[in-house]
Amino acid sequence: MKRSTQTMIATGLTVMAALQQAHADVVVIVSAQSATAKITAREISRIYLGESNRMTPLDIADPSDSRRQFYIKLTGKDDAQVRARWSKLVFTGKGTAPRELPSAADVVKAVAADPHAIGYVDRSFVNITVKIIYTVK
Amino acid sequence: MLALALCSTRAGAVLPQIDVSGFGTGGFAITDTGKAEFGHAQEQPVGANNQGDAGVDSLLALQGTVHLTDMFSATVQGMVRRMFNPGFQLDIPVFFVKADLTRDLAVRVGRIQLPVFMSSDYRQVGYSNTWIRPPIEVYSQVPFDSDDGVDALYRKSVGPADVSAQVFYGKSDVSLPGVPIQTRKNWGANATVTVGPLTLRAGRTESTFTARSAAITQLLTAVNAAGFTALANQLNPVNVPFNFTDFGFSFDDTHFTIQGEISKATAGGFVATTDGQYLLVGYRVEKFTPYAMYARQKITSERTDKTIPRFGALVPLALGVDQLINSIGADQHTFSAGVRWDVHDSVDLKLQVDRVSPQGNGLFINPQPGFHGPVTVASMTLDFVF
Repeated sequence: MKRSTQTMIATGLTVMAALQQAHADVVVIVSAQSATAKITAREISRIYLGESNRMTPLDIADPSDSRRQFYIKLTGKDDAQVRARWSKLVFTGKGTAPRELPSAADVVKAVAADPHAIGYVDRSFVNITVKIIYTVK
Repeated sequence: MLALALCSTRAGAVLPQIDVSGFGTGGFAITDTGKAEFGHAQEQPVGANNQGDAGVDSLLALQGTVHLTDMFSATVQGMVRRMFNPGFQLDIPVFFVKADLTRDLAVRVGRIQLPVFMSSDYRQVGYSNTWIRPPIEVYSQVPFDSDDGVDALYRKSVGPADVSAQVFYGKSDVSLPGVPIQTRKNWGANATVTVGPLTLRAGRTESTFTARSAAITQLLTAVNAAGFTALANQLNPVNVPFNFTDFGFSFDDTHFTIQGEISKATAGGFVATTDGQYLLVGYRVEKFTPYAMYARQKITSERTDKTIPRFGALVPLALGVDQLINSIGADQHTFSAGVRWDVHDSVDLKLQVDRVSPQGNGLFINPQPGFHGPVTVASMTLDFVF
């Protein structure tokens, strides 16, 4: 009896976690001061693959779910392909790979401070200093 | 890529940010002949034969960039590889100061990779490329790969297209085995347009070169002494033009990776005029990218001297001239098949087999009497970036 209650609680927690996961939205943000109000998925992809220099992209350092979800959905490329792309620009001094910040909170802080910066974070990190210009679905 | 942001020493005094990154390749290549060696460039004095060799593709590079201010940065790249000398050696292929004048325009002063081919900039970075090495039939057409001078880089997004353009001016000094080459007044321009998965590139390079060696001087002195002064002057590689035109395309989507270039090198002095072409087609399935490539080089200038009559004592002289005008450039084509396996985030492993068909010695190095093609080359590399 005791055992099955435990199992039920564990199952309940798992379901809740799964639901939370499903609702975890990754959003693309710029500074609240930025002139950019909207952006297309294709434009974001161009910025994050080093093709367009319209904005300065920022990354989250750890291989978080946000990062994986963001790259696969927006660029259609995995980490290895993205790295191969950037190393073409980096090792000729033509470009600098997206700066990697330790956490989503740091990305929000850096984006807020630079009107050219663009970042992606879980929606729960968004505050008044930044604005959402795209929702990754 | 590792970014070492040095922390502030005291409030307000922030040290410049330094980015340190690097790349490397560990490789092994083996052929089925003992009568010539296979190298990835003519600048390599030794290559792989049927004993196998780790020096054809192996290299290690470390790059540091100091961001001095928002506008100015300095970059230096050190590379250990087998180039110009029989052993591994450190050289500095990249060293420049960059000024980002606007978000779209940058100017660099120093040493840059000579941007003659589509993949010139990152030809050494195995991890950035599908192949093990650039096709020698095309990429050997310009036997120098760095430029000391100045360049300007412009980038702009226009509607769905991302455009970049580069102009440069400078000089370079390289040493092919036994032949030091100085290029002067190198100038060139290239433009790249990317729309979705498709990239198109066009580039033109012009320069003036001088290649002096004891053997060349000796031969041309003999040609002159035999009364063929006009020929000796025509072959003399002093301040003669070298021009190069290259068109490239690449297509890279989730599965397909396709790229190709066509190129033409025209030169004065004894250096042959050559055409080059290659096409690579790869198909990515998860972590594996099998690929096939075809590449060829063709000499379009005269391969046999017709000035010196071939009789009596003049025969060795005529043969010497023939040898000279065939010393740089070749008729050769190669079929390659390989697979790239993305083992880990920044590491790949590649296997490639080439079937190289040279006419005569082709682009092989240190050929021995009795050498003939075709030659099979098997190679394996491990590439990484950090």
